[in-house]
Amino acid sequence: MVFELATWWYVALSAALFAIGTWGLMSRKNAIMVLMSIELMLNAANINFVAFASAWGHQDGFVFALISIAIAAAEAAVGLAIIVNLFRITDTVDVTRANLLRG
Amino acid sequence: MVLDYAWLIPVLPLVAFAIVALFGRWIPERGGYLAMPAIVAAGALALAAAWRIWQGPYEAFQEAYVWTLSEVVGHAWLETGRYAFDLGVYADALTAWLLIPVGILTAGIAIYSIGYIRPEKDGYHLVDGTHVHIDGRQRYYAALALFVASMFGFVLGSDLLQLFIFWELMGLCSYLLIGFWYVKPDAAAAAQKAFLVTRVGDIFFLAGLVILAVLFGSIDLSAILNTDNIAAVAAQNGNLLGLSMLFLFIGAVGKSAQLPLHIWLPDAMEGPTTVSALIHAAAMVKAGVYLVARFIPVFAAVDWVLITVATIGALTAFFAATMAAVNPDIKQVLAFSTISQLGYMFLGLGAVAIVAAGFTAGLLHLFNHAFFKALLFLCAGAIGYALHNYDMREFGGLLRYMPITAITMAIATLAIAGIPPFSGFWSKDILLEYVFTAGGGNPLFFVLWGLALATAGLTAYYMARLWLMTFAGDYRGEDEDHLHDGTWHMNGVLVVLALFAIGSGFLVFYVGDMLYFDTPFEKTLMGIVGSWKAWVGLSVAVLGLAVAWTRFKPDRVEEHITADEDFAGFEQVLVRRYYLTEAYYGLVDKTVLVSARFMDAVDRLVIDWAVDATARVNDWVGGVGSRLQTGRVSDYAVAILSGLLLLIVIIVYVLRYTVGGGA
Repeated sequence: MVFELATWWYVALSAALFAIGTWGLMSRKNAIMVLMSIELMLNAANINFVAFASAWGHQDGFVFALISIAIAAAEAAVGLAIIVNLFRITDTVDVTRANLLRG
Repeated sequence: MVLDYAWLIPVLPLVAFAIVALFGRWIPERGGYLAMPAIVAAGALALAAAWRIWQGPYEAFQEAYVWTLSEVVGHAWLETGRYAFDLGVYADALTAWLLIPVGILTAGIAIYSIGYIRPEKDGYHLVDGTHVHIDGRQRYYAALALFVASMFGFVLGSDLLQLFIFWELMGLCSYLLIGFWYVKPDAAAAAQKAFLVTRVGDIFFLAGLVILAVLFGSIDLSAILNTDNIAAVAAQNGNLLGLSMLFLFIGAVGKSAQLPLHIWLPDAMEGPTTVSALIHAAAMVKAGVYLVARFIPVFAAVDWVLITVATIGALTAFFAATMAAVNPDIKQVLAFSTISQLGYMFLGLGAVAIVAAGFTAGLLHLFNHAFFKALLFLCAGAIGYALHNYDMREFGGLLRYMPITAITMAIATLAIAGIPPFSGFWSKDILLEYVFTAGGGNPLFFVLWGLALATAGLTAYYMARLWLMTFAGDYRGEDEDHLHDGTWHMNGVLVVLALFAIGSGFLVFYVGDMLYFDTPFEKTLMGIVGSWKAWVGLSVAVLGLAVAWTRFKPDRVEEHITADEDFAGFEQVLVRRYYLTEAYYGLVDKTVLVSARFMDAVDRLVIDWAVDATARVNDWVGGVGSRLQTGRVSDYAVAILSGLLLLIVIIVYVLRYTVGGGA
């Protein structure tokens, strides 16, 4: 038999992942951890896409999820490059040290 | 017919102005060889037009040749409701009378300028010793062409707006030319003074024109100068008409440097001498006299304004002559003599209140004065060209070094002093004659006649003083090597003008046919010889010459030369020009400065305070706001997320209460 979960389980998973990501974004000082938190939030959104696409029987959501994964890969590359540069300048990957914009 | 091309008279120099202003640097003499031929051509055309007008039938004010733009192109230049603003030509005997001296003199001055205006290789030294090199020829010829164009445009103007436009353009050009050597602080100040003082008159002039336009319901000269219209308006709105004429006259007072707005003219000597000749002889100051003459039929409808004109004229003639009698600067003496002679002209025009022929006498004097005054100025220019100095106390004995200048200037001196057969005698004599006749109608004119007679004596005195101090005896300055007559351009013009100074007076026997106005103007040689007033006038002039000879003959002249700091008593008052300029400055200090200080206080305490307060509020808000910027990415993340959350909550609630129909 095909075991089907109700859509809200997926949404709940997505919400949990998003919350964890948000918490990590706000509390972590290590730039790598911040980047990973952002990835978590992106994946939470992807789960939502796939879950609702499956629930409605449309293909659009899957396509969106694929594009989103591709963008996430690009974004990770850019983010890592920023972190490398940050390390070169400040000898650390602590984001709280990068505060040149303080008013 | 030549009059069909009369519109070219102002247009030729106007086109030359545009070309010289834009491309003058590629024309020989920086535009001089374009501006000069254009001005000469306009002058020739002006003479031809004047000749054609005298062939008839344009002698009277009612019968003028009128040519307007709307006749040619089908519509006026500007059309607004009640009034159509047109450009055109209005030519009658009076126009022709002005075209002749203006045409000849502007042409002569343009030719003289080619010799006189040099590239100024030496440049100038400022007060602080800074050396400035200016080649102003392009500027000079452009402004000269525009000046001539505006004088012709004014004389030929066919409606009030056109008169006003060219009147103002003339003011602008005089400003540009008086301030030609603008690096000299005196010249810059004189240009401003000329512009500001004439502006006082210009405002009244504009007000007068507006009242006239409203009264007559038209701005066309042919409608305003129509005797039926004048009679109708005078009967209906006599006082208002008088007011507009008074305002027009105040405009003329400013332009023609009459009391009490005469203070700009002596200072205007700071410009090149050619410019002085142009302003004093051909244009500018003559425009004021022409203005009154142009509107004389309207003036004649309101006697009291004409009596004001005559009184101001006589007073100006007398007081300017007293100031000329002591001034040591040759060009300033000539400036005061111009003011004085213009006073004569206004006196003659004012006499129209009683004797219509005063009009003709005043205009005859304008004609003669134009030539001998241009000659006097160009002679002074030749002296300045050789000596680079205008202080008569350092002249003397120039007759030996500059014979052409000396002889032509002697002719001009005798002409302005009123010695027959030179031109000044005829017009001055006939003017005094008619002023005396006017005394029969209004005793005030006897007083004015007395003033004018005294002025005649003073004129002879100060002109003889000028000539003797300059040309007689021995040279009192240093460095005699560079003393010589001017270039052939300059000498030629001097000789031609001298011929006019000798001959133009005889026009007195023909002027009645040329300038017809109400009563014909009859004057015969027997009439002049047989009149005791002519002999009185002549004796007064000879007396003036004799007094000048006793004081300034070669062996006495040293006793009567006073250094600047030694002027005392009444002489001091005269040299300081009755302290009128100082009085004006004092008045300005009292009124304008007080209000300026008040405005300054308002500016600093109210407006500046408000601006500062705005800045301070912004500064404070910025200080507070900048503390929100921690520079930590996680804080920004918190801000973004909480904003997003807030937005979601709001959107959800809005959707619930609108789309969802409410809870």
